[in-house]
Amino acid sequence: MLVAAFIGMAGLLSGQQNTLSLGLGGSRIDRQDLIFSPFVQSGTSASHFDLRWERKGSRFVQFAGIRYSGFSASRFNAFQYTTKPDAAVKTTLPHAFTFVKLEYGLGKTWQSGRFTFSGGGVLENNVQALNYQYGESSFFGYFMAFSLSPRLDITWPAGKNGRLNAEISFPLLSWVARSPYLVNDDEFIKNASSHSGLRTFADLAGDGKLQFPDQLQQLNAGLGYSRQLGARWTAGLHYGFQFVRHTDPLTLLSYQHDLRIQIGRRF
Amino acid sequence: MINNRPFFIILLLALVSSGCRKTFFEAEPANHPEAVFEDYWTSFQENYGPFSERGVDWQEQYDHFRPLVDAHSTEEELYSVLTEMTAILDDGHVNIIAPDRPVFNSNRYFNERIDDSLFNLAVVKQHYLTDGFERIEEDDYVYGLLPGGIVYVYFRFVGSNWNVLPELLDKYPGAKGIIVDLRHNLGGDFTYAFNNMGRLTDRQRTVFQSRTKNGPGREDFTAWHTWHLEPSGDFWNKKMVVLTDRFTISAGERAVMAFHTLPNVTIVGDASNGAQSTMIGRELANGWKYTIATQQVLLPDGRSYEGIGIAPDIQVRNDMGELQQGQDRVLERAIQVIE
Repeated sequence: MLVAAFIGMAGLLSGQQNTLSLGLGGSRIDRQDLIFSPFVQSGTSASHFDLRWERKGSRFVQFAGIRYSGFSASRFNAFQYTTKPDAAVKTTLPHAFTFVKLEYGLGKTWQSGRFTFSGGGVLENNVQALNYQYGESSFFGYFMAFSLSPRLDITWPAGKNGRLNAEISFPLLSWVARSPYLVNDDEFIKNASSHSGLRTFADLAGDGKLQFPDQLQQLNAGLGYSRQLGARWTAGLHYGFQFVRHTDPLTLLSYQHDLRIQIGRRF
Repeated sequence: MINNRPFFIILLLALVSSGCRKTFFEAEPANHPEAVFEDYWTSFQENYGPFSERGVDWQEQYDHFRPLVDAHSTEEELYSVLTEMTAILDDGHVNIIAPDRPVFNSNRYFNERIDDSLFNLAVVKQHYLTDGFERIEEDDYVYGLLPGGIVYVYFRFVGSNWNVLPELLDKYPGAKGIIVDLRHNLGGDFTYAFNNMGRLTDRQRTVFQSRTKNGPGREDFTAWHTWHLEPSGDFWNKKMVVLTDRFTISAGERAVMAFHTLPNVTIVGDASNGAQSTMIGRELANGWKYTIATQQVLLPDGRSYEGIGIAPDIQVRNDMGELQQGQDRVLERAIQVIE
């Protein structure tokens, strides 16, 4: 269905304006995942990257993007301890989170005064790999949400060559796969036993459930400013926010803030 | 003149919103001695799997140790109470890591390193693998041919190092048998062992069942999951000896369980450690880390060997004096079994 929509939209949008933009910047995470810890793990990272393609016509818009954020997050300061029997001095490590988000969206555009609106839907694929560190032991965890979300985008002029843009989306229907109650149960071990990255990913994702906003509450919002630099190039700043609350099997609460500089090229 | 106001608005929004971090989070455990004790005790009460196998009444531990902690307890006193309370589990999967201290392990063998020096891989390499041996970094595996055409392989842990096992069977087609040395095996991921043992069995064999805590109640467990050894490739039907000791733990023990199902295997050495569960990590409000065993495990005879260990078919212990002279009595007994 999505492929059909894509082809259909491509037809409708043929000959219209494409923009490819690259964003680089930093992120902050505050995350409390009761499967792993009752503490809020926080971290700031300069590893934030966003690549996005957008095709815009007078009536429709479609876009696809990939976003990456890598975090070292902890609630506590690192400390040194000694191992046995070799008496080696080691230092505790922060937890490590790797987030990848792939999205594809379609929308209808309309004008109202100075504002250009775009309303439609987006297929959001959030894959979060978690590596919780507890001194000598570390434990892998995951959160994956493949969601269909309504999305609203508003753009308006700001100054002579600039424009402001705000967007918001929230999933209504999601396929969610997440670490089990105590992380390493037999089902998880079985799913990881192929030791093939792709197969393990498919097995873990396949163990997910269809869920609705009563179990997954997610909000994605952003505000950006871009300025025209000649006929083809734009440069700007974008702030993005993602809130996630998921309650199955235990509560996960995550606030992610991204700030990135974006360079775009029209073609 | 360029209007920079939008940039400042976005920066301000990012700063203000990222500062509102506490909103909606559940209350974290408090950081004072009594709260840390309560959090630690409750975490075991709700998540520890093998209380009954280890014959531990955790409530009794609470009644005994809780009065020893008050609001004025020092860090040293709290550490002492938690480690003493935990020692009764005698579980190699339970550790406490605190600043500027050695790792505390609830299991006596690991914590006090009892009989630790009765295994010395250097003796095997220098005095038995006299025709040379292959190894990878940090001796993750070591293998070679013993006199008499017997293959010897040592695995330091259970992981991708086990991928060498099928290669070995091909490398020495004329071998009389194989000795798999799992003494001091640190554990890891047992599925690497199971995946690489397919040539050692001619049919599916049931190895063990396990279930994991999935709620705070005493009987909140997942359904039992049965783990099998599946045949794959050309069947290798020769004598095998597996060496174990009190430091063979966790996935190392699960590998021993798999070998135990094979009719042509003899286990030689000492009983394994008896920590056969999986585990999870946790942290306390004062920053200390700890681990908890979360499973129950049953062998095909319907019994649990948690806290007991897998007994060898032939019990042999090395002698420190002999070992210092280059004699590994356990390995020599294994060679006799194959010859």
